[in-house]
Amino acid sequence: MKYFYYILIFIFFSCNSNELSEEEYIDIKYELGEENLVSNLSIEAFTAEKAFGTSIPGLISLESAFFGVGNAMFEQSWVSAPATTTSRDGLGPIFNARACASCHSNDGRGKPILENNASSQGFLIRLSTGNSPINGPIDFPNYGGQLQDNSNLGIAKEASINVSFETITGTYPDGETYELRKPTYTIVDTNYGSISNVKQSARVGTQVIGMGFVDALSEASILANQDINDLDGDGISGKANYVWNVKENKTTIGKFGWKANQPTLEQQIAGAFSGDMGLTSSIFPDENCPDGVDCSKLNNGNNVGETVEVTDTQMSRIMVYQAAISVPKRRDYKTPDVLEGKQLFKDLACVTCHVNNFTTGNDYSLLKQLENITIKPYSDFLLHDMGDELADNRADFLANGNEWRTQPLWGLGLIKEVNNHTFLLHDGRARNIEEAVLWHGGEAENAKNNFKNLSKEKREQLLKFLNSL
Amino acid sequence: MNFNFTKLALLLLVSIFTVSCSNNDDVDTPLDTVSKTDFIENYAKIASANYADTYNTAVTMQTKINAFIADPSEITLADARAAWLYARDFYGQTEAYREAKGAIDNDKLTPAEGLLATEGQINAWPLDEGFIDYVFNTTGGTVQNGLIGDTSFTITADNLINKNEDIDADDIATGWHAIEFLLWGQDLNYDPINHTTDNYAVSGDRPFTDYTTADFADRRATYLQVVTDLLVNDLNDLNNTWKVGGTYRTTFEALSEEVALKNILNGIGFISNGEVAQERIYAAIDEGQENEHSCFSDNTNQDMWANVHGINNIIIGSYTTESGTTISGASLITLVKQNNTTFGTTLETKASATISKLNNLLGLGKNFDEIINEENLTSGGPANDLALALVEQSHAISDAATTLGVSITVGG
Repeated sequence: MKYFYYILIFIFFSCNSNELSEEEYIDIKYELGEENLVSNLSIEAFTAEKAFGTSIPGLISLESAFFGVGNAMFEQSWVSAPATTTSRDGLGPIFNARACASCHSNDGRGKPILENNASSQGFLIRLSTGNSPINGPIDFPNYGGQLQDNSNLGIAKEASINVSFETITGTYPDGETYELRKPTYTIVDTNYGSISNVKQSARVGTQVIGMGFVDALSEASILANQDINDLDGDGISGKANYVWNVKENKTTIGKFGWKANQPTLEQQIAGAFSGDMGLTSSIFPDENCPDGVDCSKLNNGNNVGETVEVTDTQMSRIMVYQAAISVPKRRDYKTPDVLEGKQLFKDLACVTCHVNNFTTGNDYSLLKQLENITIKPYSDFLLHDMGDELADNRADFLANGNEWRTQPLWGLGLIKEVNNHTFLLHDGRARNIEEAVLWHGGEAENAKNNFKNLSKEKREQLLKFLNSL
Repeated sequence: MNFNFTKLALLLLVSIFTVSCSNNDDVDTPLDTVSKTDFIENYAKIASANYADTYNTAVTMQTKINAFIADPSEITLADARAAWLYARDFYGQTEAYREAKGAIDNDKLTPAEGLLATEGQINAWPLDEGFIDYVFNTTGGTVQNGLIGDTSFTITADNLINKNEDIDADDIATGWHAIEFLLWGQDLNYDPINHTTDNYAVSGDRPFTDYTTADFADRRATYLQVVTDLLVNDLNDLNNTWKVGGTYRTTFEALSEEVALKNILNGIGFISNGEVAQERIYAAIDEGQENEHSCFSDNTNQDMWANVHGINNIIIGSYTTESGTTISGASLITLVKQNNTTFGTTLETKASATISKLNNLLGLGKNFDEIINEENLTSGGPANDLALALVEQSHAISDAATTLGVSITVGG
């Protein structure tokens, strides 16, 4: 194997850089510190279990304490009220998951549902009848904005979800074939009335690394990459989503979620508490109540003197936890294949959307350490038309049914370690990174075709680079 | 009171040992030279002896639990509880070998390399009590939603393993805390005189009649039997894999010096900061009694004793076995001092401070839930102090690692 590797290197150098030794090649191609995706706040991924769940270094002791409390809150299950565990009750009445970690196992990525109905661990379907550019998707009658496929004892869950896959075969110009699987979801066993003519969009939970750095980005730094009408003529536009900011009571730029439909980390988390677990907070204080059920007669998890289940104190702890989770350093960043893949990533213009150079803003009061940090998220956090094949045909504020937010790629290669799977894209349809690349269409059509035109060796180099992130 | 005289004696011994170490250094006697290999070998010896003690004391616990199940009474229940508490002290020390890419929690090993990855099955926490058996509701009644009351569920080890961490991370159905819950029941802090729920001196007090006349008594006994046998089997596997010639021991001994050091130090650094300080102490202080580790038996002080000493065993290179003999060899302190006196001395100071803060907490003579009830995250106090000492100890371990040429991640 080692021998084979040296031969590869030999061939590689004889083709590309006649005079250079491997060391010289690395010296030229490696950029000092490129492995640190969040500068000196990057951490080293050591064990799979903690690769994504580790804080930035240098938290002061109280922040460290909040991080620990938030971590416990993220991992532990919520239970139905009443319970002796008063700070963990209030789950439901309808919900998708009992814990944050159910969908973000080890702070990592959820699994899609499969045809054998194996448990999904982090998959859900959003619902709507239409969309308002100001207020966002319009709830589907009786079911709201999200299908809850789980419920407390004595309450009917909303429905169950089935999936079937159609196999799409394709061929690279060099003759190698590939297969993609296109899912079709069916909502079955509906308990609150007909659900026909619904706009629906499937989602899997993403890894939750580096969220604080994204939260700390200024609006201007994101808008700098915007090119709505493609004035530079490179075929790639990029559009910011503007979404309803509950706390500010106005529309602000969207940063989080598959369609950039949440403005802040705090609202993203409160939204997950509400939609995914049926827990009220001061941002979303209304119980997500199934149609025809009088939730005022059910037990809720409010403690004496409180009006919501997740208190502001608890929200503040989980905010520190989520904001302070660092991004692991890259691996294998000095191997020739990875360095060559890095160059291909630029040459194919992947980096146009998967932007690797941001500096965080200077007003992030939650964690001052995250201010003015150079980060490499490999995302522009903007919406792009990704083509008809990936479309969910469900508008979300300014995002149309073809548009998706560029996914950050940091941590990409570690998902396999952390979660024992490599399912990617918004609904987990891609079974690995290569399939995820091949699903790219729309504005990314050219980049994808250029990838397909590469030799097998070059394609592997690009994938090795992506796996090093 | 939870900690017994044996433990106190052990504590004293270790304290004396630590102190005598420091004294030697103070008078500037030349240190014996130790190598990284010496330290790594000593770690393996300690881990092996510790896992052997864990298995043997758990077998004793199993015998007592069998006797309880065969003839439930207040006496047999008390015996079973005492055996759980005793065995728990040895397991608690082994947590220092977690997050070190070892057999207990590394699912990337092959079976031939010692794959077990049974940590979740052995010690998963917090426990979702209601998933297992009845729980009290706020009006003094009970709710039975758990597997014991679900007669459609056949209670076998395989079925429970499949249920463990089923779908949701905390549908925890097996391990130390499941047994604890089945022996003690929920700790309601109930004061029968004033009818309040602030009597932290009491622990859970499940009646033995839960195993005789209560609903689902037979199923509860079966459940207790199955999870006890499963735990003992899992501890036996750990013991075997760490024995000389065992699969993981062999894997461990074949690691390069650098990798072995990194694994060891990452493990104790993480357990010191992330696990014990942050998740177990801070979370309990901030969110209250149900977030303490051994909440049913009120054994959390002893958990702290065991976890802190497990880490300290490696730092000082010494472990006192159940039989009272001491295994000692190259300590991390000595190894680091040879390379960097400042970092070595800091590590020694921080480790000694951690023991001292632990002793303060134990010396209060109060249950952990009572202690945390008097603190919040900004109040200071013995639990806060211990957590802070553990965080600082982890930073000293991180600096020690750097000194020895490896880099580890211990978080903030």
